[in-house]
Amino acid sequence: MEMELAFSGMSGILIMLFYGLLMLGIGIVTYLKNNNIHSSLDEYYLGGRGLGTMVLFFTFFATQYSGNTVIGYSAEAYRVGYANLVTIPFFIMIILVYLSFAPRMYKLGKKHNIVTPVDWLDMKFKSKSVSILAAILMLYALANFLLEQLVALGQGVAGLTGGTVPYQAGVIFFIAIMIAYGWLGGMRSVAYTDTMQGIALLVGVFMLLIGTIVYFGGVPSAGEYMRTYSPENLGVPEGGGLVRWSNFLILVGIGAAVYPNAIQRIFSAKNERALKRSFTQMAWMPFLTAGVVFFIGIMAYNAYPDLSVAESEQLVGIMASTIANQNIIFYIAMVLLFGGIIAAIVSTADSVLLTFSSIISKDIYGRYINPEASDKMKIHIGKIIGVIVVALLLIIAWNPPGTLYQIFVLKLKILVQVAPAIILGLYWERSHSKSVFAGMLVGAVVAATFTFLGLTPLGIFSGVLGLMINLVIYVGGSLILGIVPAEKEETSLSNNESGEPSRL
Amino acid sequence: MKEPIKNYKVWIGFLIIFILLNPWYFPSGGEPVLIFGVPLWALVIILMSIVLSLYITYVIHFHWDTDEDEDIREEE
Repeated sequence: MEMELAFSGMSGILIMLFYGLLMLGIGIVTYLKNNNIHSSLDEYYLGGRGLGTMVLFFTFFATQYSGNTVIGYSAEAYRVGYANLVTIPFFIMIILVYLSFAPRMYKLGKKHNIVTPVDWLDMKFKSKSVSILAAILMLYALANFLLEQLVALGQGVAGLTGGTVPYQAGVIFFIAIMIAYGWLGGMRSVAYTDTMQGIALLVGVFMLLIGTIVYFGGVPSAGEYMRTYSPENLGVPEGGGLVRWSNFLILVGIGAAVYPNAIQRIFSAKNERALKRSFTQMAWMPFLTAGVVFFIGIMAYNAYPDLSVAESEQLVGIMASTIANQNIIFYIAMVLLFGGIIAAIVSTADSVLLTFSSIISKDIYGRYINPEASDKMKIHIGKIIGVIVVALLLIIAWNPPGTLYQIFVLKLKILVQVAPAIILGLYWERSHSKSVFAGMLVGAVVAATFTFLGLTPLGIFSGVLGLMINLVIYVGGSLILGIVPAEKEETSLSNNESGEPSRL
Repeated sequence: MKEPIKNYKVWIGFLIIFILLNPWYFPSGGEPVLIFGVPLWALVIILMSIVLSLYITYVIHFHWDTDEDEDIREEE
């Protein structure tokens, strides 16, 4: 999606430089203020398990909402209409899924010094095959997620500078800064920059909302345009649309909650109170972000009731450009919007990269290649592999390999296959490692195969189908092979019989 | 100590909300009823989304408390 903005150019370059240097500054200050960041994996990858409510909230927020939420979701709302309203509840569903495992995951993380989700699986199942498979699935999903951010970054930079700067240069500029502050301060600088980036995104989106209402007209008139031009976009999802709706709620709710970078944020919380408060705030954010973005897409009907699919891809760019031409205040506001979108992309990418490195450091290098290595050495290896992966992904982003491109868009469907092991493993003592492994493997293979073949039997998403088969193998196999431990396991937190509903 | 997962009543609530978050219970076809330009069914879904957020807030506040020692440490 190429975005050409009439207003962009010099001011775009200035805001890019400003945001870029601000991020770098935050990284340098973090580095100078904390002199033992590189002393341990805990310090580097989890910010010393010391993130307070506000920073924790913003790092959850900036990790979950990317630039794509603004650009892609408003275009989608325009095209599909109210059927895309599902974006609001699916972001809330993520928090609901957190409630099923985060409380215990947090406690165990603290008690056993868990750094990555693979760490937890290794502790629970003590199975090399489960740990390695889960690490591979997670690294694969993270790499895809990162690739998506790099592509989006290129588009964002092109839109903001109107081609004044070749977008490769803009992308390299932000990636260099992202790697620099990540290296300097680890999780701490990622979380602090997330705070700045999250605020930039919120400000930008609200400016776009106000501009849209002022210059294009509100939701009521948009409803009338929709009734005239595409009444089908007002209708209730039925049949296949309804299945798609519920599949979205399940796939996104579970998939996004088990993103390794999201789970690591649970471990980074300073205390339970900070975690609870940030989750409470996160439960309301979908209305301010996905909801606002959705209605911006709907209100676009006021001005452009009849865009083609290709044109609608550039919706945010077209609207921002029109709004920016009205007066100097909105001109500045729209520059802020694009800066905010770029900041949101960077803030998602940085946390993905950090988590990627942590799995390399702790689970691949630290567990299987050189367990004797010092934490400093492990961090070092994680950083270097991280940079190599970013370089490879950049090559793919700029020269997409046509036929194989599908491989790179599979992420949630694959990632969701580790959810049973992570969540069910917390509570079900009978879980048996061989069944866990088989379920995860078959689920991932089914999800990938069905995606490539383009099959959606009964309209069920391939990821959800894989998950169902995964669960059947996991549960069935564990019932046959698993043994119920006689004594209290280390994973249970209280003296109650674990898993039993014991309290109101 | 309170953990949301152990309280089945909490999950019955979530199940009911989840079922109502899927727009299966609206009459199909026909002219959509618009209220301030928004279809009625969409307003109901937004309302259910608010109910879900409210319920999550309630559960976090009243049904999640696994820390015995931390409160003491914070007071110090």
